[in-house]
Amino acid sequence: MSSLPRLQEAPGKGQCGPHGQVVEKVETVEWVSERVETVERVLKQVETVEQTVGQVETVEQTSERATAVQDGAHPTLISVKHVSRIYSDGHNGTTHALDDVSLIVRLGEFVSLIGPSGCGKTTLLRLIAGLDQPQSGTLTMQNQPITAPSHERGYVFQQGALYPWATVEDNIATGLKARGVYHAQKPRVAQFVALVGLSGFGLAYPHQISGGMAQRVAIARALINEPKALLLDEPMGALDSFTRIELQDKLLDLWKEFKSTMVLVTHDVDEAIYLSDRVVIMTPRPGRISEMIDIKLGRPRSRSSPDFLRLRAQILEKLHLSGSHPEPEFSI
Amino acid sequence: MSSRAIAETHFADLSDDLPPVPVLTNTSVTQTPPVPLSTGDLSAAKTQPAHKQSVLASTADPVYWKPQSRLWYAVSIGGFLVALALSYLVPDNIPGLERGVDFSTDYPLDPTNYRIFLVVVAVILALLYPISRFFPSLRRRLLHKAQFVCAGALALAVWDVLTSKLFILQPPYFPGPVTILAYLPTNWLNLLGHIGASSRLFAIGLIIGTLAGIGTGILIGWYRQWFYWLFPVLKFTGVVPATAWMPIATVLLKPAPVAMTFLLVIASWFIISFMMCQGIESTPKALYEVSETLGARRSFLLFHVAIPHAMPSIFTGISMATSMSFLTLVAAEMMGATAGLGYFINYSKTFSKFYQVYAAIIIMFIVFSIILAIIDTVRGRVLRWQKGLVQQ
Repeated sequence: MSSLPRLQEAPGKGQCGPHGQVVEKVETVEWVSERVETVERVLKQVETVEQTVGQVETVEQTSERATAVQDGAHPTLISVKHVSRIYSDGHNGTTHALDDVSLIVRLGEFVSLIGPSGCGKTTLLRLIAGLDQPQSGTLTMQNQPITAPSHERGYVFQQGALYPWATVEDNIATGLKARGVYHAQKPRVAQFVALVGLSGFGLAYPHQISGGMAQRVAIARALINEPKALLLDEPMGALDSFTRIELQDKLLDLWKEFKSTMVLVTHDVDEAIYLSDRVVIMTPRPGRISEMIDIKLGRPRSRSSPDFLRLRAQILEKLHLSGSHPEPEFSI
Repeated sequence: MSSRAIAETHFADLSDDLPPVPVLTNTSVTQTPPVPLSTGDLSAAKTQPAHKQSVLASTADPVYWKPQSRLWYAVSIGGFLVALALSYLVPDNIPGLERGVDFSTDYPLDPTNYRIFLVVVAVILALLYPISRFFPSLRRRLLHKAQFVCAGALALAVWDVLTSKLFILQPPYFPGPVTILAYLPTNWLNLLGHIGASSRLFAIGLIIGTLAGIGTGILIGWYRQWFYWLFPVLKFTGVVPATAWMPIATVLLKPAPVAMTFLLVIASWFIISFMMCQGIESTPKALYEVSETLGARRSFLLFHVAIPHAMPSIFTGISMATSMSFLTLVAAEMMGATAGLGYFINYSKTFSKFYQVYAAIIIMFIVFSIILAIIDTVRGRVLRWQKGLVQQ
């Protein structure tokens, strides 16, 4: 706390006796009590800040807490328990993509999985989606085991994975067609085109629109099924920073509107802090969850606020990437 | 213009890969007002990557890049008039050849039809120019092709002079345009019958082959068991030319059209099923996965993901199968048919009427071009989404 304001020398120059007693001047006493009040106020503020800014807790603590609130205001949506996923490369080499990973995602929560490449964050997301099966451990959504992909868990791929032969409208309508409700819900397609800000581009083909637009189509395509959880695998990884910031805000708007649970895989610390309620830090070889950090910053968030920067430094440090980053300065 | 077409034009310059459509029509640096959207801009929207064009050419139309000059158009019409003039002016000179001895008495040498043809073409070209005023892309295309048309007219003139005039190229092996055009109307009903026979056989063979090919392609590409059992068979039988089956087919399958249909079917079947299978197999896994997370069942994956993805491959297969079928058709007709253009060629050869062979070749060129154009049109409609994505 080097930046706390120091007590300055008292202006009244109250003299202290040899035994510490106040020798003279009532003004001095008043001055001192005034200063003490200031100090108390400052300390209180510091305490509040410390509460607001990240609290680090272990995996066990988080899952315990999550279990505790399970029946409360934040029921569990997705539960990952002791999941391991090992890939063998056909010969004798094996990769522990995930090793005994447990995670609870609560309803309506925005969780980010972050970590260096090879830490298993995409593997974890694919397991949650049902696109892959673990060797051991269980995955459940609302107490139903996850065995196959479902429209209740929308998935957005890094490159969008749009159908190149279908227009923006047809891409977005795919979910309705696949579930056989297209004719009943046809008007919703135009709504969702507009929702992601692509009105007027409904008849364009994927190669005719920009990367950011394509990702918005991919998100709308997943959201039209009103999934309980939207799983996003580095959806903004291939975008330039301006488009990325724009899309992050769009994503938050959609999150608020649909109140769906979001699980985002990213390698961008800023993105994780800006968007999430909770950041899950993963480490590679073997892929494990090393830390979970609750982000208690109010929304909308400022990317340059001192708290934001402090969290950023904290997460970078956990990822052992903080070397070149100076300590953020802040004052009260 | 449909709204879809407008949308396509409108979006064409949004893509990252394409350079903006140049609107400057000359090299001056003054700002020209934006060109209003019209049918003519459709072709301008088909831009190519910038590296394929020089700095100067970047202001020109990338499709119809030849000089858009009226002069060349006039010269191309002039070419036909020159051919006409030569037909009248160059005296016939038959050096030491005797009708009835060196070539048959019915060898046609009446230049009337040839002259009418030249006049008709010249008149059509002359009329097209004012008409194309209302169709800007047709105008551009006409001007672009003017040099080629001119060369064609001159080639016709040279061919005429070398054969029917100077007889440097001699009958019966080298008939001139005069001979072919004089012959065609005298026997058009008979020829039409042969064209009909060939076309019917071709259509039936190709349609059966295509349907069978698409069917087996789907089975092989989609089901492991079918792939396991059928793919090796396909791979080995596919490389054998269909004509190799001809002796067996003609003996075992009667009547002859059945045998020929069989040959056409196998000529198209294998290549189409091979391409279909390949198109399905090369579908990116992410497209299946994303469909599954959208609630797709297996049949949806096949009909809405795998088959649309295979469409470009199918059309490549159909194009290849069409060429193979032409080849097989003509060869088969020459061997064992009693009608059709191939039969007609063979029949004409036995009577040394080579001008009939040339006439049949020209008719084949026209008929097959029409068939290819139809397939191309269908392809363009089905693969509309590829426009601007691939270099055409």
